[in-house]
Amino acid sequence: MPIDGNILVRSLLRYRTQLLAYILAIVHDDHLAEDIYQDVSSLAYEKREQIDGEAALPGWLRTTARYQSLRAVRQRSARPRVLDAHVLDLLESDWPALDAQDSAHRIAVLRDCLARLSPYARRLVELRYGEGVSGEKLARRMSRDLNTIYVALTRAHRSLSECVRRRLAREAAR
Amino acid sequence: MIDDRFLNLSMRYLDGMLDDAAFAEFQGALVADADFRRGFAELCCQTRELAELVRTAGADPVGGRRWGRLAYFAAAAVIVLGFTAAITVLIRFAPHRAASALPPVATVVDTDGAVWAAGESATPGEQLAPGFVHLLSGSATLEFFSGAKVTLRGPAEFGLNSAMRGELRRGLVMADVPHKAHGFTIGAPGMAVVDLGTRFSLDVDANGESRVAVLEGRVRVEHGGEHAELSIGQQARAHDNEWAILPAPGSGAGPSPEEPAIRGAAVYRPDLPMWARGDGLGDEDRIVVVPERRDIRITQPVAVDIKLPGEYRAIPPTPLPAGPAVGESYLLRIPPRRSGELTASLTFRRRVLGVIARPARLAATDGALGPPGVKSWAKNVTPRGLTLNKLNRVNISPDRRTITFTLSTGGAGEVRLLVATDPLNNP
Repeated sequence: MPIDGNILVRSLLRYRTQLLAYILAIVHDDHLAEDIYQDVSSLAYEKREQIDGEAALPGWLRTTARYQSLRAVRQRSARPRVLDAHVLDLLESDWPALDAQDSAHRIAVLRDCLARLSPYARRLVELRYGEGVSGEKLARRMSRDLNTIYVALTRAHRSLSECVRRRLAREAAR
Repeated sequence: MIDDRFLNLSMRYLDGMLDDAAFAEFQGALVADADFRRGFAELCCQTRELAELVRTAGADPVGGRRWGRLAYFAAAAVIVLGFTAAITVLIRFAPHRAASALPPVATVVDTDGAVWAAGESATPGEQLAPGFVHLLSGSATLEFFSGAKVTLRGPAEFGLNSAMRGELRRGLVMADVPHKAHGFTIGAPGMAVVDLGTRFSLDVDANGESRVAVLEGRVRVEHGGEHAELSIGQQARAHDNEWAILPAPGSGAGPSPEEPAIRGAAVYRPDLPMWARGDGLGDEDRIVVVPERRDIRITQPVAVDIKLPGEYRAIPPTPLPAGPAVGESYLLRIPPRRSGELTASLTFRRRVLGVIARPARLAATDGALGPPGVKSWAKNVTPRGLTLNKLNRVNISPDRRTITFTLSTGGAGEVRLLVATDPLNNP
């Protein structure tokens, strides 16, 4: 049964984080990822009669996003490195598990976890993800070498993901 | 659990910072280890979650006085949208709670995991007075008394001005506007989106870039004194004082699926944002080829400067008619020649119908041959046109499919190509 327009709009919002993450894995460019997300949303709405219900939507969105992402990358003069098709195929089985995540709740938990980072790590995260400052520019701005910056970001990511995992597990156990 | 080395590689990959060897190592790890693949997918998700979280962390305290920003936005609105909009900006900054004496303009009809900023709450059935709401996460659907429905996705800051107007300061909304609310408007930095019976999404990112995409029907996008109508699939973006209409995916307004075969110093850039087409191309050594419009129905011949095969060392004094035909247009940005000769050839599947190289003719054809919704490039692109002489030559091949530029002198310039797409114009 084709997907209802209202459900589609709600689902596009619900899966936004996961779909942007999927696109980012291919194009690794935040701005381009946002453009492609918009394209995919428009196409989903246009083709909603062809989507076989809400359950089929995440898969449809990813298939379309993959096609649109690779097309966008091909059209770029300075083509970014893109994972080989067979690697993208292997990754396909890992995305559905993320669809089930409640990204709104995860973001709320992440907020608490971010507050527990050291001021330096928090600043790095804010600059990198809030202002979109690249690793290279971060290194210059913080007067550190590039490797040091990536080591610090690696630690920050690890701390955050462990904190989120712990908190969600604690909530689930209640 | 994935190790630090792989996590580090993953982040560098997402930043485009891997060299050949590191990229091979990264791909190899993904192929070899299912845990790494799961970890990489999770990292991509966490990266996006962090972006959404951190971009709202600087939100103003709810209900707090924001006169500094108020003045900034009012000033920006005067520049970008004009005086009337500036007044609207002033009105829209009335804090939601403090303004509760005002009659309500919308009702919360649904929420899904909605987390509101401290001091705010909005549950289904609650009526909202003019003012701002700050949705930190989750989603909420508000129905304006006009019948227009907007679904906010947190993090978002959304203002309610009246039953017919909202204001998105940051975040994402999807609007579903029934016929009776025709004219419902959502303002955003740099643009106002007026509904003409439609569904659309509007997104304002942390850098203040606004983007609207039409899902169904049409909208009118206003930017300063200019406006454009967008139809299904089309998008528009505004940032600072620039704005642009983006093509719909797979629509006739999109980039050509058949990019020209290029030899020499030229590059095809279908992705170039419109506000980057002026001075900020960042490509000083090559001709930048930008597709402008597809499926142009040329029923009345268009005056072009160069059309017939041969080598041109001057622009002919008399224009020639091109068409009738169905065609597509390309804008070619010519870099300044500093040293040496620049040579580039572009070969198309079908005939080049004409080259427009005089500044006045470029300006005159912006509306009909430029991207939909763009009246003129003149303020974005200076200088326009191309001067030909014995050191700057253009050659059209006998089959009219290939155009070659041999340029040795002069500053930056710009020409427009009109290329046939209908089978009648097959060579």
